[in-house]
Amino acid sequence: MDRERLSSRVEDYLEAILQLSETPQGARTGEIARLMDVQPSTVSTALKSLNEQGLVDYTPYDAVTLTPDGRRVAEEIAGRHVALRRFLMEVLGLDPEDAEPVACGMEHDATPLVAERMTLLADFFRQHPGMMAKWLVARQEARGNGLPGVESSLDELPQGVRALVLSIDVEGALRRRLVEMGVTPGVLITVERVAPLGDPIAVEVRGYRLSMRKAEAANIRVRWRPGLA
Amino acid sequence: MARADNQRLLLLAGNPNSGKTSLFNWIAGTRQHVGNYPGVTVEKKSAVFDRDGLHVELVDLPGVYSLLAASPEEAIARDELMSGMADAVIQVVDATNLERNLHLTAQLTEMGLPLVYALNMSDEAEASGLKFDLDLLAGLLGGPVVPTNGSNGDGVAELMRVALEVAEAGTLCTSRVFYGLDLETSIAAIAGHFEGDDSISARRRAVALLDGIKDVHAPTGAVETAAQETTRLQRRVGRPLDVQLAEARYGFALGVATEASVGGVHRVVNDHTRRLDSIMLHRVWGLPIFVALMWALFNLVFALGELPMQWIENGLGWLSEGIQAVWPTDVLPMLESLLVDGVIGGVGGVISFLPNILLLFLGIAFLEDTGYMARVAFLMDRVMHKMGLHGKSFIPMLIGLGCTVPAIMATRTLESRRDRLTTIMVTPFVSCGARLVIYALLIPAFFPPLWRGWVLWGLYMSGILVAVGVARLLRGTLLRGESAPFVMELPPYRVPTGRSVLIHMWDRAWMYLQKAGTVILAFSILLWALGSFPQRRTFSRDYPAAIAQAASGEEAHELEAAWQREQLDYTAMGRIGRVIEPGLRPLGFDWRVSTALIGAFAAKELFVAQMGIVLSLGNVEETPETLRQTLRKYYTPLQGLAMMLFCLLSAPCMATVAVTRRETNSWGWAMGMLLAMTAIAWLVTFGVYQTGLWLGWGVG
Repeated sequence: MDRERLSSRVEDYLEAILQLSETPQGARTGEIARLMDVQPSTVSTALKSLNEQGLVDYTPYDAVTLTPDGRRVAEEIAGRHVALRRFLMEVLGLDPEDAEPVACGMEHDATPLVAERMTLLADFFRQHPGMMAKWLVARQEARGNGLPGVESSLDELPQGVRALVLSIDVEGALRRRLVEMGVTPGVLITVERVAPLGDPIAVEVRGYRLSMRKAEAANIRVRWRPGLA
Repeated sequence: MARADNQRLLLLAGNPNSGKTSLFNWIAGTRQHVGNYPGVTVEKKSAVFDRDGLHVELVDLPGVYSLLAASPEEAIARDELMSGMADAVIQVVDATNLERNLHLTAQLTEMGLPLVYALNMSDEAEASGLKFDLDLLAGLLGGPVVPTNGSNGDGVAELMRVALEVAEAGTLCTSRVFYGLDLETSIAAIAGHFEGDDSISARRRAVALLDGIKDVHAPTGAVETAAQETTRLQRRVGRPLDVQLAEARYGFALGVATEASVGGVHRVVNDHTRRLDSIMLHRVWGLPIFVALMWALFNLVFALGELPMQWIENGLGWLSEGIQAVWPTDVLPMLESLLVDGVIGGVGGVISFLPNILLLFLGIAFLEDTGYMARVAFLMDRVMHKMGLHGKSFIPMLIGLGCTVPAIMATRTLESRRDRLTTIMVTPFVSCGARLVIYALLIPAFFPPLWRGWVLWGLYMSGILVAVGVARLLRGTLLRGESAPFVMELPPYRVPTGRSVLIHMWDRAWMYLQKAGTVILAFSILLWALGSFPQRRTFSRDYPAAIAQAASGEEAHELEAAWQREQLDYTAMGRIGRVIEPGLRPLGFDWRVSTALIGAFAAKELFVAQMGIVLSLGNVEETPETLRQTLRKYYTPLQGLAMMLFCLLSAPCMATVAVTRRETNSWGWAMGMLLAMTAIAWLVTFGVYQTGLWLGWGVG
């Protein structure tokens, strides 16, 4: 295919064939049609064209196989798809259901270099949790229609509101204890409960429950958005 | 240290609440040995057993969240891991809380150990929708992963097999935390100064220096570079370095957890725990539920304990009668008296309260294993903090309801020495099970049924009130300063397994029994001797003849009592009792009570045995009810109350003094406790008794 760009439709076909060729029954016209949500007759036409371009080996009524050229293109596309989805989820913080269709659309336009740089960036953030935290803060701040987030100490955070930990402004044993229990900058924290006597509080962080006194929580700076539970 | 070829040392490491101890119980069963690490008061649990022709020693390390050596437990765990003795280290990882558990893994991987992971509670995780790719997890963690279940022992055999395999092969953990380029550059620069070290230990020490750990053996060059790099990195990132390192470790933990979990979900909201907490920690109902639970615990202890207590008492009664029936007259009457009065009377009196104490410990073990104990600390911290204590101090004080000795040992969970000392000093004011023995005898003797519960409640409350006063006093004077952080995990609620509750209960009941078996037996014999010797040969009149000629049973009884008094008067104990009597008379105590209080110092419950001996020498067919009748004849309810109050607050038993000496590592604190408590008891009892007299309560 050299530098000649294939149509995104062709790429979708190749990706679908690659995906189906790993199933026991192989890539058959009916299966391809179902996966791509088109008529079987449309698939037949497309396959004939792909056959002519030397991307697939196609005989009607038999399973389709990819030629070495076709396989290279299909794998490239699939790889870009995975890299894009990871970037969208890990770096941009999209949910899987939002990330998937976007990745499907972008995989055709992204060049190999773009995919490689996106992977690098995702790796970079994974290796630098501090940077990730800053980026999370920036993202959190920009979210919504410019409504600024509120910054406060953890003891002022209303019950049930999710907040982002910005910093632990205390020295010594308390800070050591807090960070080893997982209260680090960039982590999300919720005040779950206040003790009946008003102190201490129970928070949820990293999927478990932790209790601390209000005086201790006062050393933790958090950012949150009012009205966003 | 050289070891034979067939010996293997396995260490069990992990977070608190990871189910580490219940796994240990499954592996060790009854072969476990509980002791102390030398020089410190951290408990060492180990077990030795043979398996596949190997002589295996398994050590349960203290449960820790981190290995930065901030507490004695962390220091012990780190030192044991770093000693190079372990053939394999098993980390118990709670599958329902993988991320936090893997933070410890991040530190463990740095140590260059042969690591095996027990993915514990994997069944519970699966039930709540968490699934892990075990092969991938093993790959990411650099060591084999074995799913286990601490509640039914599933996977334990497999875990041992894999651990011994790793021990055999000596395969080291291959996983490392990547701290990010900046930090890695600094680490490499520092590690370069450790010449002659292998790369693993050089890297570990370099990281330890950056973590600000003080006791790292390092060349000056490394320390200087570490200081420079710390300043540079802190300025560059704008965050303290220990925070940066923790972030990287949590980055590793999060990465591994996300990647190894099927579908990327590794955190799960424990609905069950959330729902229970919304009841148990409810703003309005939380405290009433707490009080009700404690009240229920007490009723359980008394209602269920009564029947077996009767059996034991009857059994002991038959035993005494049996001995007397078969004992030939005129053969060593003193030996008969020693057996029946000293041994059976003294120790038997204690053993008969064992059902109560077992039930109390059972209840406490149940609360601990369900996860409610942490909630107790959470609910009570406000109050405890006001007292100058820590929420965690509540747990030792609750255990103090059973016995002060394990309670003082339980203060080990407190990290700060100040908090710990304060808790140790006030725990003896919490009324223990042995003092309950005294109340159980005296309350029914002096108070109508309707009052009994309230008198008992009042006594416990007075102990707590005095404890509050003393704690505040101590925190304001001798132990002034900041208290330790209250950053504490609230573990998920779990259904406790019968097995672990029983082992837990047995551990503590055994401590009580050992005390009853050894100290109390020795002292009840000593006290019997004090109360029997020297023997009086001549009396003011010929009592046996006078009793034989007595006109009525009543007169005979009076004569007998007078005879007893003369006998006891002459003995060592009677003499000591008389010496201290003037000092105790303002509290409403006569020489008998004074004498019995000498016994109560040996062990609180001996007060009962002692009152029995003092009031009925020569009359051995005693049961609590007849003892109560005798008590009623001699004392008023006000005096009864004064006795209980004094027993509650005065000198702790010898075992408490001994354990305080051991846990504080100072005779000063132990003796100070003894003297201060006695002084406080005197003042309070004096106040109560004199007020009572003034109000006209104790007359008639």
